[in-house]
Amino acid sequence: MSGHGAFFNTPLTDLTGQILTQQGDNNTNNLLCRALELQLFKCMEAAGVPNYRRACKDEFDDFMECRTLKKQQERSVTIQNERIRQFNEGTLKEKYLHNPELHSYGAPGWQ
Amino acid sequence: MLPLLLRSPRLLLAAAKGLQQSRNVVTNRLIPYKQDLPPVGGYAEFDWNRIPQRPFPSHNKQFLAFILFTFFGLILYERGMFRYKAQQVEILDAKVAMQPLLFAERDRLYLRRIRRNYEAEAELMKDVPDWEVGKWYSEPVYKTVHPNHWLDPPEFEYWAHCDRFEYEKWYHWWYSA
Repeated sequence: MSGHGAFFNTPLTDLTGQILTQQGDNNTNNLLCRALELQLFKCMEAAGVPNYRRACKDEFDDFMECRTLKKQQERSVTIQNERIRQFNEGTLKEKYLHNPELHSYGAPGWQ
Repeated sequence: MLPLLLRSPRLLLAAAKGLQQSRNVVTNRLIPYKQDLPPVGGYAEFDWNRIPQRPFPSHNKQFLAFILFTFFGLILYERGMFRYKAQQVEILDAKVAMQPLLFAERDRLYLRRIRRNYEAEAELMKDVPDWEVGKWYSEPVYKTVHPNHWLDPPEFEYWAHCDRFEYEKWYHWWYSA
């Protein structure tokens, strides 16, 4: 992995190398980020140092989206603003949907 | 109490009599009194002698009783624990048997809600230019992930069509209730 490996390997770098990446995280919520990061590493390794910024832009964007959820949040905010705008205009009858069932998603041990 | 009194005339009469007796009656009549005297033959002698303690069971008997009661209690405890553990196993069996049903119901509710969110988004954003359902305008959220790959939405997107205050109100429900 270019750019993410240690200069020299010792047992200590093997032990602490995982905290710099997502690859040692066994959290089930993080599986997608792990896979995307691995794809990014593979792409970086294939493209080489000067080219990976251009060649791996999609992989990098996907990885950052998985880590920050920025695009998803912007999507939700856009939907909510559109909903409020249409309700204030009068074209939308109900301002909000009813709440989802609380046990249907997000409970501990959901996965 | 009162309905019982009203229903039985005997009780009612007794209560009335008691009330009459407890009333303070003032009369001018001379009431003959009786002098309070000692019993015939006088009072009994006061016993000044020491009353010795009754003999207690010996140490061996006490120890024997302790052993007996302990083992009797142990037997009762083990019988009760056997019964309790059998009940717990049965309850656990019931939970294990119901788990697929409950999970299936939960997943059904989840998919229904996602479908409803999809329809609501399609209905809401149909006039927004370049908007595609499930995407950030025409750009997919994950560009390199196959579109048929299932991705669970984050919670705030699951609640995107609800009141923001409701979402924040119920967000920590599982960890506080």
